[in-house]
Amino acid sequence: MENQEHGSLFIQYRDHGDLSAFQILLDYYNKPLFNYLLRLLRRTEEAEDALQEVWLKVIRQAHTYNDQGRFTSWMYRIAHNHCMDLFRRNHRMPVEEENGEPERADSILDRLESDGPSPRDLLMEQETFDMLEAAVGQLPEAIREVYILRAVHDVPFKEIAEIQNAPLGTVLSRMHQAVQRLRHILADEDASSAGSA
Amino acid sequence: MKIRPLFQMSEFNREPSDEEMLRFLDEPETSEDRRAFLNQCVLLEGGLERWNELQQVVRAGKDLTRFEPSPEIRVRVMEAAFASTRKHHTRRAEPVRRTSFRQLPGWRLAWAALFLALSWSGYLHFQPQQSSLIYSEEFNYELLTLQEDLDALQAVIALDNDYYSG
Repeated sequence: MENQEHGSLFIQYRDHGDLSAFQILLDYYNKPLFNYLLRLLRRTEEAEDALQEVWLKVIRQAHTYNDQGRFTSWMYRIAHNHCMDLFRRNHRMPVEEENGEPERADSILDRLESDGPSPRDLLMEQETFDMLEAAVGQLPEAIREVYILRAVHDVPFKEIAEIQNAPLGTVLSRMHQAVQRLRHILADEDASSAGSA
Repeated sequence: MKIRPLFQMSEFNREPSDEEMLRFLDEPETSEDRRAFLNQCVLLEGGLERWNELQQVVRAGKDLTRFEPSPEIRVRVMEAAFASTRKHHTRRAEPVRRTSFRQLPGWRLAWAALFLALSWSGYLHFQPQQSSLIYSEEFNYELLTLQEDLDALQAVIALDNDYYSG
C-alpha cells in the first residue's frame, strides 16, 4: 500500500473519527514499529511499553500531522523522540563510535555473492538470521537505527535524516558504518563458527 | 533511454564512495541516473562488486526475524483510539446543540411577540373607554333629542291651554 494512502487513512481517522481507517494503520505498523523499538531498546517489556506509548502519542498528537508529509516518517519521528526521551531518562545516550574502517575479511556476505544458490535463498537459513540479528544488535544505537529504518522498514535516507534531525551526510555516513560493521561482525562470527567446527 | 557518454560523467570517473553508492540506493530502479551510475560502476574495478555487497547488507535487513508484540497492546490502543474519537464527536456535538437552540424563537421574535402582546393589551384596555365615549355621545344625543321633543310637546300643551282658556 502506498504511504500516501496511509496518510489519507490517518486523516480520515483524525478528521472523521473513522476507526476502521485507524485499525488498518495499526495492523500495518504495529509489528514493524515494535521491532524497531525492540531493536533500539533491546528489552521486550520496555519495547512493549514504548509501543503503547508511541501509539497513544500518535493519537494525541494527531493534529500535528501535516497532510503533505509521509505518515511513516511522522510516526517514526514520534517513536524516535520517545526512545531518545527514554535514553535521557535512563541516562543512556545513543552511542556513536567513530572507529576507523574495519578491516575487510571474507565474510558470509562475500560468500553469498559467489556462484551457487542466490544470496536471498542462503539468507533464509535460520542460523544466518540469528547471526545477522545478533550483529545488528551489536551496532551502536544511532547507527543501528539508521540501518533498521532503511533496511527493515524501507525508509529513504532523506526521511531518516528528518527523523533523526541530522544532516543527510551524517545519515549516509552512519549507514556506511553500519554496512562496514555488519560485514565485519558477520566475518568474525563466520570465522569463530569455522574455528569451532 | 537517454545514453549519456562516459566522458560527460567526470564525477564518476573515479571509484565512487560508499555514501555515493548509498545515495543511489534510494533512487528508483527505473531512474536514469541510477542506471548511468551502475553502468559506470561496471567499468570501474570492483565497482559492481561493492554495489552488490552494499545491496546484500541492506536487503539482509528485510529478512530479519520479526517479533510479535503482545496482542493486548493492540486492544488497548484501539480503545484509546475509540475514546479519542468519542471525545472528538462530543466536541463536534456542541455546535449541533447550538443549532437546536437556534430552532427556538430568537430574541428578535421574542421582542416582536412582547410588543404585539403589549399593544394588544393596550388596545383592549383603551377600547372600552373609547366605546364608552361614543356611547355617552350617543346617549347625550338621545337625551337632547328627547329634551327637544319634550320641549316641543310642552310648547304644544301650553298653546292648547291658551286656546282653551282664552
